[in-house]
Amino acid sequence: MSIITITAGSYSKGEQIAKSVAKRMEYDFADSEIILSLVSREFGVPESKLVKAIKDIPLTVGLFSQAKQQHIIYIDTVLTEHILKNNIVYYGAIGFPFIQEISHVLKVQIIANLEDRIKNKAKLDGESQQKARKTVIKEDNQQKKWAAAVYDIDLTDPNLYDLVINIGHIQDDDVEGALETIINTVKHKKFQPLTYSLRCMKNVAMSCRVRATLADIDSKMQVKSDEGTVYIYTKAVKKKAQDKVLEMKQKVMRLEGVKHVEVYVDNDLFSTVAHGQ
Amino acid sequence: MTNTLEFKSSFINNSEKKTALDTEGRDLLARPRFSLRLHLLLVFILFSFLSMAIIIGSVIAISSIDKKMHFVQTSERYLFEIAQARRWEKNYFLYDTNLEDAVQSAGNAKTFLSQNLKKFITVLSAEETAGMIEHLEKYRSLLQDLQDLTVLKKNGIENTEKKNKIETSLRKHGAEMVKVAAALVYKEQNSMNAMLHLIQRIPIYCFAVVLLLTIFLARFLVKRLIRPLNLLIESTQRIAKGDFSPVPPICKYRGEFTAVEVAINQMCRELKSREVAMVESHKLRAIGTLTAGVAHELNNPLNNIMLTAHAMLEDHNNLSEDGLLEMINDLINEADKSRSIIRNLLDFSRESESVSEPLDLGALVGETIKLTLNQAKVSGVKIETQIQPDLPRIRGDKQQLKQVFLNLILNALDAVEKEGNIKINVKKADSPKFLAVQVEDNGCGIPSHILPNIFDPFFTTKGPGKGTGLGLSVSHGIITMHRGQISIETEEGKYTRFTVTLPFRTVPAVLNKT
Amino acid sequence: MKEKLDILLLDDEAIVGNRLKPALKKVGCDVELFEDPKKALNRIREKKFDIVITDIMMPSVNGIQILEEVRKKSDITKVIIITGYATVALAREAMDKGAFDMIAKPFTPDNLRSVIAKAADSLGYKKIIAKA
Repeated sequence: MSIITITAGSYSKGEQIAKSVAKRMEYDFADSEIILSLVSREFGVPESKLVKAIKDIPLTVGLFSQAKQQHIIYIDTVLTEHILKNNIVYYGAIGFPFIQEISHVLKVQIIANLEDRIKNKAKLDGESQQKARKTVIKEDNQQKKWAAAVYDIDLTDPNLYDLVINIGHIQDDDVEGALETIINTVKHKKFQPLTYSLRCMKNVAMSCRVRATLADIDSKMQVKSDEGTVYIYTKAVKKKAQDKVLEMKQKVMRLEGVKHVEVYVDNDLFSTVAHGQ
Repeated sequence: MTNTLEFKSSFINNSEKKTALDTEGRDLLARPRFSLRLHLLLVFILFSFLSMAIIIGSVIAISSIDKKMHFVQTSERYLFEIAQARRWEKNYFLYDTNLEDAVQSAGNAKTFLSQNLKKFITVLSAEETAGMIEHLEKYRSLLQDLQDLTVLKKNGIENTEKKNKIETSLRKHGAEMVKVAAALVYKEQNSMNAMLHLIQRIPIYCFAVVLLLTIFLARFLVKRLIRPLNLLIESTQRIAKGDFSPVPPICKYRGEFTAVEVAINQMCRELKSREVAMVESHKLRAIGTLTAGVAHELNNPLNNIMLTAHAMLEDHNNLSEDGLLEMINDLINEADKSRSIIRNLLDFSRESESVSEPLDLGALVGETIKLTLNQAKVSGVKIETQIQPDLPRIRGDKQQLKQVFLNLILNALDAVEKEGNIKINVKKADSPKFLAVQVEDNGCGIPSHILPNIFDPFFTTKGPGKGTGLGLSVSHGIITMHRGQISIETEEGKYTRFTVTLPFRTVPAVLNKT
Repeated sequence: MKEKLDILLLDDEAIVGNRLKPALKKVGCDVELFEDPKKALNRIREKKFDIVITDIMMPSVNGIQILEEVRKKSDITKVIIITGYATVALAREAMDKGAFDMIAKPFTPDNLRSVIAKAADSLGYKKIIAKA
């Protein structure tokens, strides 16, 4: 009855471990590929565009195009709702901050020797060592920068994780050891869901759902929710604030499980100035 | 519309700032200008004059020596002619020959003297010259007489008596003449020697003077250069400690450093205006910390309200009137409790002008502690409070002082481990007319190597995003403004004790005002 | 098998107990109320309850200590934490020390009842689940 998230650098057999954990625990497995296809089906966005949204690195998420911001919100929403079902192993770093504050999510980071990852890639893809090295390092940087820009987190910070496993040279027994460790850890009572933590997870999923619903109106707003009460913090040009709030409330109230909506509007100075109002 | 207004007002603020700059800058700029460049120029001119004077002086001295040499030569020539005349004269008296030659020599001397009369007059006095000329004239006329006698003698008339008489007088005048001329030569030679001696010494004197002057000027320039630099360094250190009062004029004159002073003052002013923002932003952080605690604390009355409301909802049909009344009262009480929790926070967070009012320090510290009790509860820290009763009142800004104590308590909370202890003491200080507030924790202490820095702005030991590093610097600023002091005793791994002393009022308010 | 669940409810605020006691009675629970954690501790040492519901932040005794004391006394007693200071760390500590569940304040009586129903289920009291 838990959720396991596993993040790992490319070619460190992280995915393989995640899949094995899911199989042994009889949990579902999800990775970004599966999530993206779900997003694409639900929101009708081509997968190629979604891939761009999780690969391109803006300076901050604020500098992303409106469309990309929306895509990220869609991905967050589908992910949080998907793992809400529990008994799931999720491999990837997307949506990481949303599961940060949930006590029944076991967050695992797998690290491995860089040289061995490079060898691994060279062997798997039949590439030269040099080329493999370049790709691996580039992908590491990309993942780190993307998470820093979009979620403002440092994925290499061990404080973010409950469990950091170094599988060293990525030998088969290293992988087996990691597998055992994860399964033993997740069985620990600490990571069992509580009424409290389930509620937190539900709240997070609800907040994401609200953001997705309103993404075409405002992709930068913040949403908090608790037991069906939704708090929206947004910015608007003063003149238009009333209409905006009304539109938001109507849209959100139609969502299942929403009992009450509150919208807090900050005066959007920037657009006011930009539009000369 | 409002926005344009805001813009206008900020524009006005800017222009006000500018005028403020002008008035303060004027104090610095009002001084007479005396730049370093001018200093250097003056020194350069002084040295040029000095060397020119030395050159002119030596030229004059050398030319006067030259003149004297000429004069000495002239005098010697004159002396020679006279001596010649006297030799011929002697011959005449001994062998009766050469009288013609003597007359000739005396005539030569006479022409020579009259030719060089001017020179003689410049060296000798007019009387002496006149005396000299007189002697020479006499001598010549005597020689003339003698010549006349010789002519008479040739004609057979022998006048021995007259000849003897002339001889005596001639010897007298001749001796006198030679004496004067020799004295003249001697005198001139002496004066020339003295002058040569002087000229030999002059380079040494000049060297000494120039050396002294150079030392003096170098010291002066260095003083003019180093002193402002030192003062500026001192100022920057002072500013680094958070004292943003403007730099006083460094010296009486305006110079290159004035621009730096003006710039530093402008910076100070900016910093000062930022400090207000800094105090506010720091307050916001404190509010952030507090809000976390308060949010949790609010959960309790909210829970009570929720449970009561649900109970009423479920049982409203079979509740007695008393039971219903009790629940309604509970609702009201719990709502009140929530309100007072929020009000505490709002009181603290309210932006307010700095107001000085009589304050009960004990009560103020007590209120501050209340704000932090939740935080303490969450981290399982015990706060012991000891407030001496009947303490005199202090004068100060309630919000600001609260912020200081809140800061110290929050820092203490950060420093202690779970189940740590914080002791807060309010009492009379050791120094008279001061009250002291001590906040002591048995936490990790402060390592001595960072102790000198703890009051610096932006100095923090907490991780990124956790502390602004402004807490103690802002506190220090506030306490200094209240004419108090903040000090610290600490032992690594054992304890940290912050002591804030504030002056209390000894004079009743009314008298104090007048 | 007993008809009713024995519940000890500890919260330093009286209102919590006053409201929850009737709400729990309705679903077939016998509730003993405590406001003083020390007295509650004594009672826990005397009697094996089916369920102990406790607050965390209380003067003098911490809810975690209550949990530990219950664990010493009995293995089957379910401990439900109710707290206004819910955090991930607290949730994990409570679970680690053998709590059954935790709910964050503010909650509704129904929230608590459903948690009690779950606890009753794992204790084998089918009757109460039906009622709740």
